[in-house]
Amino acid sequence: MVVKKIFAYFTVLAGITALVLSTSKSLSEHIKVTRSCLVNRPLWWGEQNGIWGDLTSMSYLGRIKKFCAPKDYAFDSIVNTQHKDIDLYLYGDSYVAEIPRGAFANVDHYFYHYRYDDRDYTLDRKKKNILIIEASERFVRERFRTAALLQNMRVKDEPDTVKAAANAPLQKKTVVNTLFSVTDLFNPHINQNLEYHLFNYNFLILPRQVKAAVTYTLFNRASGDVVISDDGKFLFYKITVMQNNLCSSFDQLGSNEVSTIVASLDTIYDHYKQVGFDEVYFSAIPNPASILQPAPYNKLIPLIQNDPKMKMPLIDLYTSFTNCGDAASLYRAGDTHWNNKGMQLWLQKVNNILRKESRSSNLANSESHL
Amino acid sequence: MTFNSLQFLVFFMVVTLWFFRLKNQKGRILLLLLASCYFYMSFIPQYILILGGTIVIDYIAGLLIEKNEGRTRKAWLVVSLIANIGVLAVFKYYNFFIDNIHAGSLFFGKPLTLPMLKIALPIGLSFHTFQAMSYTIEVYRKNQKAEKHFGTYALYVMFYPQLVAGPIERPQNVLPQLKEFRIYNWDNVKDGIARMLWGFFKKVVIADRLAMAVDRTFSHSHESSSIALFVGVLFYYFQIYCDFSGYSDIALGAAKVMNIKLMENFNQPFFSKNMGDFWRRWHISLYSWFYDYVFNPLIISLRNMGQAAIVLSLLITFFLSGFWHGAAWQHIVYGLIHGVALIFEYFTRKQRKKLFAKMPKAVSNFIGIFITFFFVVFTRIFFRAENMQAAIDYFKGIFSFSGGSNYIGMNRTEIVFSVFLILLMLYREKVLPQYFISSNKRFYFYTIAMVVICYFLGVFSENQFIYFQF
Repeated sequence: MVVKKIFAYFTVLAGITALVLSTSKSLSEHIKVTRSCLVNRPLWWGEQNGIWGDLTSMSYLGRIKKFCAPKDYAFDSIVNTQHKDIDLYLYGDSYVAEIPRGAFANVDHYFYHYRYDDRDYTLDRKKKNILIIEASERFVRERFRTAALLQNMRVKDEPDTVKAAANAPLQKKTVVNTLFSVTDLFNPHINQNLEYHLFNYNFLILPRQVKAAVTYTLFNRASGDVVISDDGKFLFYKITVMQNNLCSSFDQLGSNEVSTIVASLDTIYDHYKQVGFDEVYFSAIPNPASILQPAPYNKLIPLIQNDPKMKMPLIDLYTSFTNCGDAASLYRAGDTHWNNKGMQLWLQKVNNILRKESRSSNLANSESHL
Repeated sequence: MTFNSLQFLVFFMVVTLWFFRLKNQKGRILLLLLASCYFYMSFIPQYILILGGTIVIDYIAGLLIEKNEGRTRKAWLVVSLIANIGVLAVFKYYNFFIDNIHAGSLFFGKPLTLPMLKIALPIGLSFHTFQAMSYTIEVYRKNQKAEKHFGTYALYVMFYPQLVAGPIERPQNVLPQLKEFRIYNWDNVKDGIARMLWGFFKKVVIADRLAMAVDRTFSHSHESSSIALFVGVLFYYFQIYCDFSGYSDIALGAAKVMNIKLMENFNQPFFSKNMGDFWRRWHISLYSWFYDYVFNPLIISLRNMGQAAIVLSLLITFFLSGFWHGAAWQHIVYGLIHGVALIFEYFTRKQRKKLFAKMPKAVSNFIGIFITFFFVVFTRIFFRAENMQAAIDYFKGIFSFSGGSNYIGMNRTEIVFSVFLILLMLYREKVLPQYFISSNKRFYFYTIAMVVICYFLGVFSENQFIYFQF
């Protein structure tokens, strides 16, 4: 009887703790950061994370060899440039997160700005300041419906005329609204957090891999948020192929959607030009499904790129990828990202632009001396 | 928080164990009420205010109906009905009416532009408003005493197992159970857990698997072959059954663990011998609600019209039941077709009886089951299609007997496996309903087996239950 009582109280307490931990974004994040030192270490309480690809990891298909493509980024040939007269600001996501400064031509200072962060910058007006806004295709519709980016990335010494516009909608975060906001009490990601806290340990990975392997072998499916490409060679993130999802390459675009996105990009372009950037570029990285899956693509990237109202100059990767001849060699089989070849193609384009920008600034400088 | 989520499993464990540790009824009511609020708010927190508002109105209306006589009594019933139907009208039907007014005005050449509401439908709105209405109607009819304790009444509407998708309960069944201190009973715990596991199995192993084929065929109806479309709608009938009855099993099981018995919602509808029989076996709590509060009062008030009263009452009842399922024409058509089928059965009952009397019972039963089954299968097209045109196109696709893609979103092994699962489900429900709880040993074996099966064969993509949208 006593044992039963203790068991009941213990379970209630443990359950409430699990719910509270998983509900609180800050606590969950704190635990994830604390546990990050255990990632990919052979400890029973450690966790595996994306050695073979994020999608392979998400779908637990690590036992299916063809989806196991390790990261192969190589930056050993650092770009050699004499004129380091560019300060490069790269606002982007995980596609470009690992690229070091040395991979960019003519760059003196390099600032990588992860898209979730809020940050202020002071521009060195003596340098050529180039901003590249990179976005993987699945975030473009959600991210650039508005010019919300202006709130993320601010220039400190921007002219007063544009300062107010950029900062106006910015909400002040207070301790009170962070801790007690209703949305935080009912965290929509509670199930993912619960799964992470309760089951994301190396010793529990085997049954998950067995389930994934059985499902794949018998039904030719991946589980959860991952789907297999029609040719069976790639894994795709489900949200990039399902209908009725803004991230999807196959979800029909709304009638004015492209115009709205282009208008937002134009606003962003005008703003950053006004605050002192010499040039602002936009680069959308195509979803693997847009390139590799023979299905009716919604043509989001080409429609944005070819819109006559688009002011922002582009780093057009979509055309390069589609014309490459062997598009399958540009992405990792079990990952949402490109492989080294895909990345080098992008870097090549960026470096061509940077060299051109550097030359033009040199020319401008020499003209001013004359 | 859907029943097929990890959050629910933890929540259920905490609430149930805590429930039995509390030694007084007030504490238990408070616990269940708070748990139900948390459960409901985990969908869209703000909508608790709407639910709370109708609960307060119905609680006060119940007390005043009981206290008063004559016109005042009736007036308070009307207030309660208006409050509930009003909420439904605004959140569920407003845009439908505006859409149709707009289409009508265009037709007559005088286009009207009225504002549309951009709001999400509160989860389970139709369920809890109907349950609330059944309370005030029963108090008005003097079949139920008004509940004095606000918390107990609020819990009657909000009791989390049946809050978002029924069963739509009656106060006579639930209120006495909520007021009474329920003693821990191992047999009920066994029964409840076994039932919940069966519900999980039906949802994650069968319904969500079949959903892959159904979603594929309904979204690719133009390029699919007739066979693929037929298999799609056939699977849909089993999908919606496993989804909804799976939900009901989990709801009934969760309540049963706490020694609270909710009303049954399904009784092997695939074995219905005619449409009347079908509606006594499918979504029983809703159709008994319509029978008690719509069909019966209509029959009584139209009794002077003879057989026309039956025709009219059936049509109105099934029109409303179709409309209850969704603010769309295809749902209304679905309801009306079933209404017409029941009218047909009513007028041909003598001839059918004569005809069947000449056959061996097994043959007549088989014919009845066969016809009813496929009638329901085909009318389900209206239930699932995005709109009327899509439903008509789907019908055309099936009966054009044309070629096209036979792919239905799953490979051959999975199709065969799905059929096996459906047969297994039918066998288990028809032949072995209580077999697995007849001894502790069987129960433990069943529990472990079901957990393993649900984990390894379940399709986990956090799919909501279909009936949540109603």
